[in-house]
Amino acid sequence: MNCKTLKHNYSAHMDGQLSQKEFEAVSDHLRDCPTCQAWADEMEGTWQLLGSVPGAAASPFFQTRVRAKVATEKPDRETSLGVRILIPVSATALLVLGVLFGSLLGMNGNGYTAPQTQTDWMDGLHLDSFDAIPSTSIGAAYFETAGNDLSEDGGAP
Amino acid sequence: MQDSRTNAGFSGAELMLRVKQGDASAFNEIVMQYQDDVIGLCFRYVGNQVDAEEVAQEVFVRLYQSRDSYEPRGKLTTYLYRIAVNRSLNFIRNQRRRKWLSFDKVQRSHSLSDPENPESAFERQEQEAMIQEAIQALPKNQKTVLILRRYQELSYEEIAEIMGCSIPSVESRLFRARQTLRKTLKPFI
Repeated sequence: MNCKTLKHNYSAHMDGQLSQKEFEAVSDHLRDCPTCQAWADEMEGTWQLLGSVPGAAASPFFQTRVRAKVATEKPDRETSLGVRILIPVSATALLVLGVLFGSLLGMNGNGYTAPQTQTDWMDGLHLDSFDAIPSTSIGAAYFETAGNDLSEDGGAP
Repeated sequence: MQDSRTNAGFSGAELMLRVKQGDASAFNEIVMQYQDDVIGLCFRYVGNQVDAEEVAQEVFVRLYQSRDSYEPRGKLTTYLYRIAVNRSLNFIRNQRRRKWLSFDKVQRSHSLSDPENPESAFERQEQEAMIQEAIQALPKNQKTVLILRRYQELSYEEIAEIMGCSIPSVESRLFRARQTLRKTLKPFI
């Protein structure tokens, strides 16, 4: 057994989890390796040190407090029933209401209504914003200079 | 109400089955039999008596609430400890900002009982606080395996059942915990 294997097995060795053969291999290695022996001593010392921290026991009337707490707690099966059924149902109901409300808002004309005729569609493009340039404007002067026709039909050939 | 003396001699699992049938005195017997074990386990996680008892109360309440679904698949301690570990870890997570002062308060009360040698009592208190901090610094799986092995003295099989892992996992986690603590606590050895 080498040092690496020794260290890997030593924790199980401390808990009596090794086979007889493994146990003897650990013992033999420790006898011949002072470095591993020192390491093993530290492992044992650490384990002993952990035991020096005192624990805790029940204070008086702990049992009485538990009884009182049990008496005031809601049965877990009721709580879980609420969690499992009421919350999902409420969430679904809110979702459906939200969709319905949004649909109603759209149907009241607050939003865009799709045009039914070609004229409506063209109105929807707001081409009225592209009126002919006023003749007295700078833009008109520009187009005159550039040789463009300023008539409403755009100078179609 | 059934006489609690009739509950003497029953195993934890048998008592729990009686609780399932509505026997309140059987539940009282369970609390009496296991309160020290559960509080002791919770104490290792939370570090002070007050919080340990608070968590332990939750453990027994949870046990009572789950009586309808309880099935005697093994020892009651396995079931109790599983609840206790989970509740303790939840408590620590929720109290993560809290400093370790409450543990010091418990240790300080021990030192007051030794007025003839206050310096060594103080040193012992500091050492115990360092040890507890070192344990708390472990990853939660290593911490749980260490606590269940060192302080509850459970076997690898019992620990594996409580944690829902394999025995080699228990062995591996315990090895890593011991390695880490050896390095951390070397000045105190």
